[in-house]
Amino acid sequence: MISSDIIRGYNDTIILYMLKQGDSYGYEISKQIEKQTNGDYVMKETTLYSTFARLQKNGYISSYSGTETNGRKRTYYKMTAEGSQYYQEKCREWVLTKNVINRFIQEVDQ
Amino acid sequence: MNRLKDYVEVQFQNFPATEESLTIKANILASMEDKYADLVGSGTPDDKAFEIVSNQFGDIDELRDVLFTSNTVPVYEKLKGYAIFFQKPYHSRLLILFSAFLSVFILIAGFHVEIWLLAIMTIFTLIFFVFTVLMHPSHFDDPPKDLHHYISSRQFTLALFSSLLTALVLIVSILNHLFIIFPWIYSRALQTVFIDGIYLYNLPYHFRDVIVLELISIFFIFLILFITMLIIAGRIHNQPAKASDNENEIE
Repeated sequence: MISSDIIRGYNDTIILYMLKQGDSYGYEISKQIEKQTNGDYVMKETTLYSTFARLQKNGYISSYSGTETNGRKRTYYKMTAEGSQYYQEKCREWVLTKNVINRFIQEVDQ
Repeated sequence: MNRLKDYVEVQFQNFPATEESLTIKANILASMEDKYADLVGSGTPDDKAFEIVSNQFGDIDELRDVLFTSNTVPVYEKLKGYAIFFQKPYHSRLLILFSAFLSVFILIAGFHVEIWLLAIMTIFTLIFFVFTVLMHPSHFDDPPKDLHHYISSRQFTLALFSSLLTALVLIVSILNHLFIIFPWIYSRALQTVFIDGIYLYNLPYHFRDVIVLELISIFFIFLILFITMLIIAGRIHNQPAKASDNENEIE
């Protein structure tokens, strides 16, 4: 189980990665995250939507209202150019963080 | 599906209803309903599906932090500079000392002219002052996160009470005018002796004193009220700043 404190700084990165693949909406993104992590990380609804709100306030994503196949109205999100740049920065930051932390991690039994 | 709708409604109870928050609420409900439908569709029993979906809701305060800290604070933005000044314990102590001095001054001055209404005003001013001091940041046991938290807090009740007292002081002050100044004008017009019910005054001397003292009292009352607002604004402002500091540390 992943601690929400640890992953908090990277929810932005995860969601921007998902939007890099194309415009999408809340449930689809949440489902993809769960699938791609084999269920190791399930993002809470409030985390998902507060991340969207924060990213939007910072101009990293934009939203528009769209209709899905079953006719329900949904809010779709789209990554902006600033968002793409921010994503690159976050990726570089993670590589550095990972290298630093790895120096202090002993191998664990699987 | 009504069960999920009710669940979301309960979670969003006491949550400020803005256009943005209502959209998010609708989106969250839609997400939860989709997930629920998927689970039930793949053979999960209804109750189990509801449990999984509701556990995935999260913490409403997380949304509150993002939606309302940055939105509600701009109301206080202009006061920020002053508010930070009063955050420092040294400055706050100085302020309390200053206010105490002023209150004593009003008290002495009020009794000096022997007007019972001025004395009542002074007493209310003192009570108000005590509450202002009580509301000093160091007395906040649970600092409010944002305006919504603040309104539902004990501090807000205190602030409300202080404001009501101020209003009362102002009403007493207005009554003072009605009882003293208007009869004075009336008596001048009719060339009769001015009587305040209790005292017979030496008119010109007394009239000037009343006006000056009242103006001073009203000025101080507004000053104290203004400072109280600054303290509150500073307290509210301090929270988001702290929150973003933490965030930077994590990132």
